[in-house]
Amino acid sequence: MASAVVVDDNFIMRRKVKGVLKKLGLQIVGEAKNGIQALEKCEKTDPDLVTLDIHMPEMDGIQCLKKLRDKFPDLSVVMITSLSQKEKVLKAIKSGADHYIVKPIEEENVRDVLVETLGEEAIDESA
Amino acid sequence: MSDSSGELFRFEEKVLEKAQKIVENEKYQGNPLYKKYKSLMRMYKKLLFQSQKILKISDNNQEKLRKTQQNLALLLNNVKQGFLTFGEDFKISPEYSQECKNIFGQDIAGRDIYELLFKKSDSDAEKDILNSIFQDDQSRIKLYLPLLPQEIELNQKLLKIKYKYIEQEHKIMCIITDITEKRELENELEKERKNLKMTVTVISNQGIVKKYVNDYRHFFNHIIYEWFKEYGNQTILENLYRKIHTYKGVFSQWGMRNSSESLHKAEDKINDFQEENPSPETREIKKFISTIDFNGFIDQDIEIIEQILGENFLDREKSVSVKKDDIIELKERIKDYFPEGEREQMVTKIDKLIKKSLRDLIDIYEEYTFELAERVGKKLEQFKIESDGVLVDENKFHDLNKSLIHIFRNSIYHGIEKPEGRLKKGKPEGGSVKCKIGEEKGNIYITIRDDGQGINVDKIKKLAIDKNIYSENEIEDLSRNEILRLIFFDQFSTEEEVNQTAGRGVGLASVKREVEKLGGNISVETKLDQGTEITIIIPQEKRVAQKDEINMNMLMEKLEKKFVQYIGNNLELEPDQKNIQLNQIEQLELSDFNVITNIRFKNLYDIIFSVDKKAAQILVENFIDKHLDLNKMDQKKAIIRESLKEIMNIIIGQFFKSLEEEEGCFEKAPMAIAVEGGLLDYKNNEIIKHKFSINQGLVNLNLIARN
Repeated sequence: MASAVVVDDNFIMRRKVKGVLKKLGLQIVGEAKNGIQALEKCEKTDPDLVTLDIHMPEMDGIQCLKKLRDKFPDLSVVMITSLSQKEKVLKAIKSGADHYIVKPIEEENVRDVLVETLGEEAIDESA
Repeated sequence: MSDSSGELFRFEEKVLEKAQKIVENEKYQGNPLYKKYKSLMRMYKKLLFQSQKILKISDNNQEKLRKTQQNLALLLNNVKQGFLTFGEDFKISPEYSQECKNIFGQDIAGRDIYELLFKKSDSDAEKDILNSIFQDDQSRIKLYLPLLPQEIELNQKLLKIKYKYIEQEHKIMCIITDITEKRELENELEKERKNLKMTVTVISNQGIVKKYVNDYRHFFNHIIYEWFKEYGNQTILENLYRKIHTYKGVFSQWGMRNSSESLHKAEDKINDFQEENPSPETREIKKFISTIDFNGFIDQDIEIIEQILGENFLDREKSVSVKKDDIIELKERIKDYFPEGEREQMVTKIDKLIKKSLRDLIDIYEEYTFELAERVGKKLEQFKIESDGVLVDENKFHDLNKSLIHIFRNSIYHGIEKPEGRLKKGKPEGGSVKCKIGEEKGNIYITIRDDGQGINVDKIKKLAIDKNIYSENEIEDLSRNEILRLIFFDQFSTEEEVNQTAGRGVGLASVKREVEKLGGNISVETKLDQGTEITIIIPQEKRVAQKDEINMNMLMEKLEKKFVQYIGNNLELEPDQKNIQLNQIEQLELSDFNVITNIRFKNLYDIIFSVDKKAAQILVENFIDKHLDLNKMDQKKAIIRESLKEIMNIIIGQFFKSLEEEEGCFEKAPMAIAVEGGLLDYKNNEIIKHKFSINQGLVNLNLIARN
């Protein structure tokens, strides 16, 4: 079972992302509401995947992404974004994000992104 | 191909020719190396043949490929989509499809893709994206593609663009569709749909709509000028703003989007004016207001409505009289513009609300009555309906109208005498049945009279005693009217045999029941040998005071705000507003779980919070404990009921706090019920209904005025 840490400063969004990831068979091993917490959580739990809100206070999603990339080169990082933030998305991709999910969070889209980043076998919808 | 191979292998063929001549020459045949030479020659020959064969196959394949490419190009050129590709240099490859020429109006080979497609957009984002695409790893290129614009406007054309990375060529393909016409058509269609929807909503809520439209006009033509006498300059603008805001909300609920959009702009104008003039003089405000064409704001929507429903539809005092043809046309248009499912809903809505002439409803009995008379050997001379155009809701009157058959039946069976009998009595041979329909003081009257033998009161008395309904003594105390009324009672006569002797009574009890369902009254008058007259009085619908509607709007706004706040902040759920409805109801359908509260704020209101199982579960789980799994708990239903009650209690408590002027209070504590398919009865009460979805569950928040 693939493990995931969900990072978002908005609890509603966290809930939503968590819900969809769980439904697709991922294990949520942690959540964080800012970049600093995210780094700590990843250190502790060593997840397969991190979903990262592109826009957060304290440590921005992109800064956090860069740090995560340095520390955990094999970690899959998926940004959560809206398409209106194109420039940030571009920055994130250039900074090494593995993929991005465009809001609103829909199961089908998340599924596609997970298949492309973690592979088909990471998904278990029977869970 | 054969010539090309001939050409290609000329040298080899010459060598072979020479070798063959040597082999054929007899003088060499004795040579000790002859055999070896011959075998080598054969091998050489074989090899050459094979090589030629391979070349042929390859040539053939190339030809096939060329043909395929030709076909493909032909295909692409005939598709109404433009295909073009560009590579790392951003230059468009020359093999773009024909449609690109139509789209761009020029030869685009070698042109820069950025210059051609994206230059017009206001940011440099596209340039950044384009530059980044080819710098990244090949496998990640497709990540960038969704960032490129999916729709652009170019030379007054609307283009939809899809991007595809072509791995073999390391190029990006753009598939371009000109959707200008399609979009225009869609917009037209959407506009028409919105107009039809608005019209249906307006018919369904016509009483309130008329009132608001008239109010609106009255306000901006008169009341506003009186405000200047009452209010200070600053207050006027604030109050005006609030007033506009209310109208905007109300009109947009009914889909009157042109009106609400105009009012929205007016709000902006007031804001701007206030900013520019921090302390304006009365004269300036008056001048400012006069520059806004408030009357014109609603004209466009009203024109659309009147085009469909007939001129002056909204001016009419009385309830609907939309022309039948207009309604038929409206229904036809709805069929054209809406998909199945949605369509039926709207048509039923219209059917339900379109009132029919009561006369047309009763008319169906004419044929029946004549036929029945003939069958039982009686003669009917006349069946007459007099009506002053009373209109009713067909659905509402359906059951009553069906029951009226008993009255006509009785007139023929038991009222009208046989022709000979009538002649003996000095009456005309053929009898008559007359029906009169009228409207007076908010009531609808239906009288049905025949000129038959009348009801024999003594016979009724006797039957009542025989059936042990009354004793002989009791009967003597009853008035004539009270005795006559017995014909409407169930116990009095339900069996055919009894009816024959009693003369009257078949099914009259069922008429009485239907009349009472509508809150009406039925009575009978009769004269021996002159006839019987039955009168039915049905009250028309009540209207709720207009003040209450505004009050209700305000209440609902606040209630909904607290509801969304609580569900969002405390339960961490996102309620998604589905729709708002404002109308009158007779029945409210309950959902799986319901919390019913009665509150008082100036008037009495019911607040009914209905949720389906899905919504109930998530609400309660989040209310008690996020990690709770309700499915694993005993008494799940009771827990849900209690929790929902508590949630409602909190929300309404906060809602009371948000009421400014007066205090609101619970009239009755919230009560929770779990039902399936339950209905609550109302009598044309005003209702505001908000529909939300929460995690695929449905939640209804209803505010209903108690009359």
